[in-house]
Amino acid sequence: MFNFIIALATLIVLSFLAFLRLLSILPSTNPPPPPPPRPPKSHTHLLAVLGSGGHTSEALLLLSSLNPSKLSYRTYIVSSGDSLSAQKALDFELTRASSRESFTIKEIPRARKIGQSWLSTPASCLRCFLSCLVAVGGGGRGGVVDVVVCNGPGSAVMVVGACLWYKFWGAKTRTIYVESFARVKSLSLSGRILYWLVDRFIVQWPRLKERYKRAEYHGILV
Amino acid sequence: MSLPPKTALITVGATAPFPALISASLAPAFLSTLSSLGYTHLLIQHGLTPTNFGGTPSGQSLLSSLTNLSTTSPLKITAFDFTPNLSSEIATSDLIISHAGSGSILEALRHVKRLVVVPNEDLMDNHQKELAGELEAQGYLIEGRVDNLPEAIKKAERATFKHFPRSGSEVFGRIVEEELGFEAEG
Repeated sequence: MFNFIIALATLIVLSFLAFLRLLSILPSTNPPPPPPPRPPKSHTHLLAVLGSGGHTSEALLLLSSLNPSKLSYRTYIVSSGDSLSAQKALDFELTRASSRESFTIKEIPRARKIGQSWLSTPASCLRCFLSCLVAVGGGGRGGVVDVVVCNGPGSAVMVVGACLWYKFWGAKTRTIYVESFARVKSLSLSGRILYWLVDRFIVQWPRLKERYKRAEYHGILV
Repeated sequence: MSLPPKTALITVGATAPFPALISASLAPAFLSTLSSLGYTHLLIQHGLTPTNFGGTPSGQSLLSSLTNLSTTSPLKITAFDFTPNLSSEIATSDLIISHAGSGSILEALRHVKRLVVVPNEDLMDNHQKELAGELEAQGYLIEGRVDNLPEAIKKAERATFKHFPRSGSEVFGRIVEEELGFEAEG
């Protein structure tokens, strides 16, 4: 009985500590300090989440002015079966004359396919989350990715979740969310969830900035 | 005497078919308005394939009217389902009539084209209408409906449009560099 009480107390203390840790990494409760300065020309790894149609085009427009000399490696995440996005990412990199060794395009399974039964959804969500963990883990390229850019597809929530997992254990990954240019007055579903979870939350219409305190507005970015 | 070529382009994008806009763009009243405004060519990107339209009778008849275009109109009409380089078609057109997808709208605005945007009222989550409305209010385009296309293109032909700001992707690039911890340059 005594052992049981000790075990229970330990569990409670650990959950409490985990809860505190979670609060401390959540940017909405604790605005993130500026990242530590990075020496020029150091290795950096950016991960971008691409999603069907408009989201992919917007994401690639956002990335079009990034200085390749400051981003030595890029990972693109596409949902399984979205070969159009994968092709767009490939074209994007090849028109910038990137070396084939400086980027990768990773397919992750969908958290839930359209029409999939709700019973099998937890398992497919877990599979999706695990592959996000692998992708954010950096795939053996200098550890956890440095910065994550996403703009709205459902898979972005999973990817940011994976980032939080690494941040919980001390990783310095930064997350940036850019709400779609198509969203004038209201956030998308992903936006409403990620508003609380990402380091930088950027909108492209001034009205959204008025409504959401954490949001930043820097004009139209795409 | 032959007229100088003047091209109108109708595009429904790649994500969802928009048969109502295609029907409207084949209506005689619309075609004659186009000719009266001096247009000589009409390109229709309709996105309709025998499979994606579920074989419905209305879809079938629309598709067959696109493949057997009547020659009563003086316009030279070209219809295709998709094209990998819509961008170059936009670049060479004088008027764009587009669905309200943000990608197509951006593309047309960046090419500084006369633009009529028709939101698809059949789509469930209609924030597209918000975007078209806001951009019209700011003077970048004309918002049209499938039942008023002739009026909308007349309006677009007379309108003086504001120039759309160029991409702010450099600003975004700086935000990413900030988050990586690189010192700002200069």
